[in-house]
Amino acid sequence: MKIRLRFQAMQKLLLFVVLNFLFTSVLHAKTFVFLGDSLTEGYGVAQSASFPHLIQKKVSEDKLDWKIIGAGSSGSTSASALSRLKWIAKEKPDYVMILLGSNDGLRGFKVEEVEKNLAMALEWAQKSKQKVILGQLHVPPNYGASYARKFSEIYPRLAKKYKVDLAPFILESVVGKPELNLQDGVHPNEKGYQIIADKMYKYIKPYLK
Amino acid sequence: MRIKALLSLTITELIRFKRMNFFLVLNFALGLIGFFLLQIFQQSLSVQTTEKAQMILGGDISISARRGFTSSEREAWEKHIPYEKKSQFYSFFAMLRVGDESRLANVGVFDEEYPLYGKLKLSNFGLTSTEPFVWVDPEVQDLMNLKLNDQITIGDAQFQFAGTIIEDPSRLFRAGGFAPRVLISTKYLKAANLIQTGSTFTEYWTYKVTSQNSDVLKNKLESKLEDTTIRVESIQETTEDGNRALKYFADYLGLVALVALGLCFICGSYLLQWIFQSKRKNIAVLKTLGLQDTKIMLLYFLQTLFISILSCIIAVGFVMVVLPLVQNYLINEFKLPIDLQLNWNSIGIISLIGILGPILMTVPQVLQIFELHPLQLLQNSFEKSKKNIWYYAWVIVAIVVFWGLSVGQSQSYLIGSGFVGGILVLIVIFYGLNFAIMKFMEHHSFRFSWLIQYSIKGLTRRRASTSLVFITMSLATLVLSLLPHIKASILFEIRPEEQSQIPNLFLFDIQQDQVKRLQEISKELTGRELVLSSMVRSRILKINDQNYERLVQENSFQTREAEAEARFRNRGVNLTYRSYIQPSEKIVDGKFDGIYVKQNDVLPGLSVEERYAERVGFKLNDIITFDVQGLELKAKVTSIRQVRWTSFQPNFFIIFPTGVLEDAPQIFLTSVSQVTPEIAKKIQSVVASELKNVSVINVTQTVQNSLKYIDQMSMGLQLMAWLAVSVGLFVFIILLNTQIKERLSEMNLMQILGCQLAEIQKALFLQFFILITLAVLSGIVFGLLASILIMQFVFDLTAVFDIQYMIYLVAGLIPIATVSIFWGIRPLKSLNPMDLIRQTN
Repeated sequence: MKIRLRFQAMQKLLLFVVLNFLFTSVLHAKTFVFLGDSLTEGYGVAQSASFPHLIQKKVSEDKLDWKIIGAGSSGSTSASALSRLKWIAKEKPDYVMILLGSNDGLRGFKVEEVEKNLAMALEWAQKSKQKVILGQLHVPPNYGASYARKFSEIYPRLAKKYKVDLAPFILESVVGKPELNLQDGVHPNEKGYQIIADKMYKYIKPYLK
Repeated sequence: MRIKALLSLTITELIRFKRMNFFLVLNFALGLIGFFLLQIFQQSLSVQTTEKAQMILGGDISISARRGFTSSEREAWEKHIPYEKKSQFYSFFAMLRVGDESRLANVGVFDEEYPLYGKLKLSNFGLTSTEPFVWVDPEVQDLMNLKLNDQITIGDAQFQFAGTIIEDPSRLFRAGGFAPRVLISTKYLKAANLIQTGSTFTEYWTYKVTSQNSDVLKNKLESKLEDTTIRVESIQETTEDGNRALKYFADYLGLVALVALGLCFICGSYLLQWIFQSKRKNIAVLKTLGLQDTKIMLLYFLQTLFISILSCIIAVGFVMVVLPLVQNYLINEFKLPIDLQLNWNSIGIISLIGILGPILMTVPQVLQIFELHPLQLLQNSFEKSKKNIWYYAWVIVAIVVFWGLSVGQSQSYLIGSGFVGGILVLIVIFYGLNFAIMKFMEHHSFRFSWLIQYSIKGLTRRRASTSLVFITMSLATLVLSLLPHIKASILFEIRPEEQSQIPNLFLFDIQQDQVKRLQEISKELTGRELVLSSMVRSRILKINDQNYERLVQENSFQTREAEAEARFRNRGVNLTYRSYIQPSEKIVDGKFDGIYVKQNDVLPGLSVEERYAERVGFKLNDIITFDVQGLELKAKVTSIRQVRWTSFQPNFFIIFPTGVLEDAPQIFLTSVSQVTPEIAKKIQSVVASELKNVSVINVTQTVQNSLKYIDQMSMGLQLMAWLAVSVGLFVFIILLNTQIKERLSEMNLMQILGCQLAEIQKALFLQFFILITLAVLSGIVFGLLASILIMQFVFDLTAVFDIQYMIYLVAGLIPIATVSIFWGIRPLKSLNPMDLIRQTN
């Protein structure tokens, strides 16, 4: 009988410890959201191989109390930036990195329009005191030097205007390397995502304090 | 007996039974004409399908990748390709600039050999690389207000506007769909400076091969190419992917041709047996006179050979004369772009079938010759021939030959075997059905008047003959009723049934806050509200707590297919939600509750498309875990549904009920239909200026062209199917005639015994009315069942029934039967008792 009571007491203690751990980790974990398109979603690779998940793995290995969320939606354009940012902001994330605009560029949208969409999102973030990092994006050189230049210039200009940090181009070391990309030549493969995660983690680590 | 004497006797016999032999020749010739014409039509379709596939693919085989190839890579694969010509092509997106205005275009870069197949239609002159010219889609000319010789900037180079692309058969540069096409020569690509590190482009190498099946070549190349990002495509798979309508039509024609030939064989076999019955006395006489069995057999074979050669000559001659007329008729009346070609190969096949078929069918009669005893002649009675081992061997050989023919015709072991198996099963079913009906009628005939009793007796006393007629007539009716159902099902699959469903514009990437304005634009310009479909991006994480996605590790896949499957699973899935099932969808298993109200432990019910469910392994009641942009969501598969993907409606693999996904980040897509080209253009322009991110694709011309082609093709096919129908009707009439003739002496006897002609006619009519009604009904009912099976297993389509045609069929067959009966019993009036005595002796 005594043994049984002692066992039940131990069970309760264990449950308390587990729940306490879970609560503290959930309540205290800060969140970093990547708001993007197929590159963030990890199109064509398993979710566990997408770069936000790989970063989460690194965060856990480094015993940092942060939750990394990948809010990627294939095919999405900068037009969705504001509404999606509002949706994400409901969860009060500590940081949101906006990685939108690739699809606009690939579909040849006017750069003024892309800039306007992103500006609206950044303006709202500023007003709502939502910490935001803007991710630099480029269009491939086949879109023509003029368009590519104009497109690339949007990001530093907006970062400066809205006083937000500008993250380096996500595909910097991956683009144009067939061995790091899927058959479509646009989306990274598992190896490509690993490189992206390594670089991106290096970039965001100072924020995860 | 010398050959000359044998030949002379053969001719004498043929002349003696000239009326019967005429029917036989007519039957075989008609069957062969039907089969021959349908085969030519099918071959032409097949050639057209291949040519179309070659044009779409740009060659017999295409090797491409979303990167540039090195020359050593290319040289390595070219060692395995026996080719006479090759062409290099690049495709990518780029911005066109005219002054300050810029616009996205899908740029195709051609070399001197492009296109290897087909011809480009350009507004001015042909493709040339002498100057830095650019050809654009008419849409670009309109939007950028281009005039001939205007300068267009693409990359770092200037191009001169040389005209518009009116028609380009290849799909080499249609990857995006949302950008108009532009063509430049490969000579000026370097100057444009568009292909460099980081560029997204596709390099194609297409080959016109000298020999070898392109599918075999594709497999060979795939085994040699280690880089799985290199895509090898053959015309065979392009045919399967791209020309579904043509493929259905070709399969349909194959079936129609087999039906025509099958009917002709069934009827021919019946006629031969019937003629043999009439000749038995004659054969017995020849035996009595001392002619050896082998000589009689030879005599019999020679007669059939003469008949079959004559049928073949008539059929081939007729087709040779008629083919140019049919071709003209199809082109002029149906605007059907088809080239009907008669080749020696087809003539050879037809002659082989036409000569060997009837000879094969003669075997059972020949076997009876050996058993025929002269004594029977004196006894004035004929014993039923016993079926020996040779007979069964013949049955097996006949089935195998017909199976071979079916497999050859359908070019599929499965379909050919299914067709023959189906016919055999139907014969057994009809035999059983006839047996049961006769037994039933025999037992209950006493309840009726003597006339009905007599009519029923007339059928039950001739069980074997009734059975044969019942089976043949049921089969004939079955095939007559089957073809319209198949045609209706094919057309239902590839053509929308309502004009309102044919779209002019497709709009996608509509944001939630743009819906209101878009509806206002639609109301303003079309007077209608648009039906929008929401699209929520998600990933499937688990099926019943088992991981769904496949983690790809280096060298973890043995085949390209395995990798493609993993990528497919990892690609995510678009979800939608609505409370209803569209007219283009049908629940085939389970139930879809369109509205979800959150309750404890009750998960929302999903509806999953049948083929998708099969591919990913979803079953009813499976619990699926989704990741909807960071949020995990569980749902239960409560229904499996069929989707008609060609309905021109936005369709999805997975549907959620309302009440679950409304708050999730989503975009909308829609289509605009029933608008004039002017309104369509206006909508395009307003959307482009006000809702800049919304992509609009104008599909009016493409859809109209494809529907026009389908309509023309189906009308042409209808004409061809009538060929099979006429063979069927011929069988029907012949059977009736022979059956009436069998009964003439009995009717004559009744006349002698004092029956009135009207009474005899009534009795005969009743007898055939019962037989025909039962056979027609059985044929129609089993035709419906067979069409469901064929549509499901052969065509993999939803079965659609053409009930109107069934009514026409019944309404047509009954008067034909009535006229045939009255025509058949005409000799009754002129018969006298002496005829009966003469015939008996």
